[in-house]
Amino acid sequence: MNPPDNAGWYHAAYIVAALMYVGYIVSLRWRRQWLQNSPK
Amino acid sequence: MKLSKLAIVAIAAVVAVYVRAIYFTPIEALQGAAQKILYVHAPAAWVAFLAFGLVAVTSGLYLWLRDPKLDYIAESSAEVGLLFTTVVLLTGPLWAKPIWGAYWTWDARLTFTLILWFVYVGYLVLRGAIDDRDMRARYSAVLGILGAALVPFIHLSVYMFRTLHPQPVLIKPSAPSMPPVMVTTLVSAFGAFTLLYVWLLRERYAYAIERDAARQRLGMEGEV
Repeated sequence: MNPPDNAGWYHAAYIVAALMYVGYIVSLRWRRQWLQNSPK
Repeated sequence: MKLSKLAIVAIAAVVAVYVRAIYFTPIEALQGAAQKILYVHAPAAWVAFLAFGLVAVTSGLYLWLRDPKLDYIAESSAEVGLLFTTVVLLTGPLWAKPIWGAYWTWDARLTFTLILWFVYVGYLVLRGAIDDRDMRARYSAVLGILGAALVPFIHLSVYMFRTLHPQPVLIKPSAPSMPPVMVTTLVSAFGAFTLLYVWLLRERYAYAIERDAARQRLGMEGEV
């Protein structure tokens, strides 16, 4: 019996997870950058 | 953008896990390739539990010692834990649809996990709503401890309730119920995502310190 052809679901999950992690670290870097540019 | 050694190691480990899971881990016979979602879903859940566990520990210590650094760690771990819980709640339905035929069911584990997510969203909203630093730290410490009390219920919910969600394949008293090649990928994923958590926690902690310094510099009591 061949396994079901459902690779698209795991591709989607891997992309979603990667986007979440990258998006978070970018947002964190932006927030720190914004702080450094705040009035002294 | 400068990256620390920890960041480079964490990113390399996560990329290695992705490559191993995609190209060097066999497709499960019954579920098909969709089963590979396990390698991002389960480690994200583990890290979320670890993160909220740290929130509870540091919050308890804060209530005892009143050291602001403990509050910064709790705040940082809660936000990073929320990120990983969001990944769990997004990747879970993408696995459920091809296997169960539905994106979501209101069974115990899924429902408790969603409640956990809302509790820590509430935790971050609470922190943003209170200007006084000590009051904010005390109130959020109590909520952080109460929220983390959900974690053991979520882990044990598959034993306590009738559920579609599979029982643990790795973190259980008996031997792993998967072939060694899959266990190796899963254990590697647990390690890689834990490293990713440590890196993100350190970055978020540094931000909390800088934000508080800026707030004091500007003479502001609220969040910057």
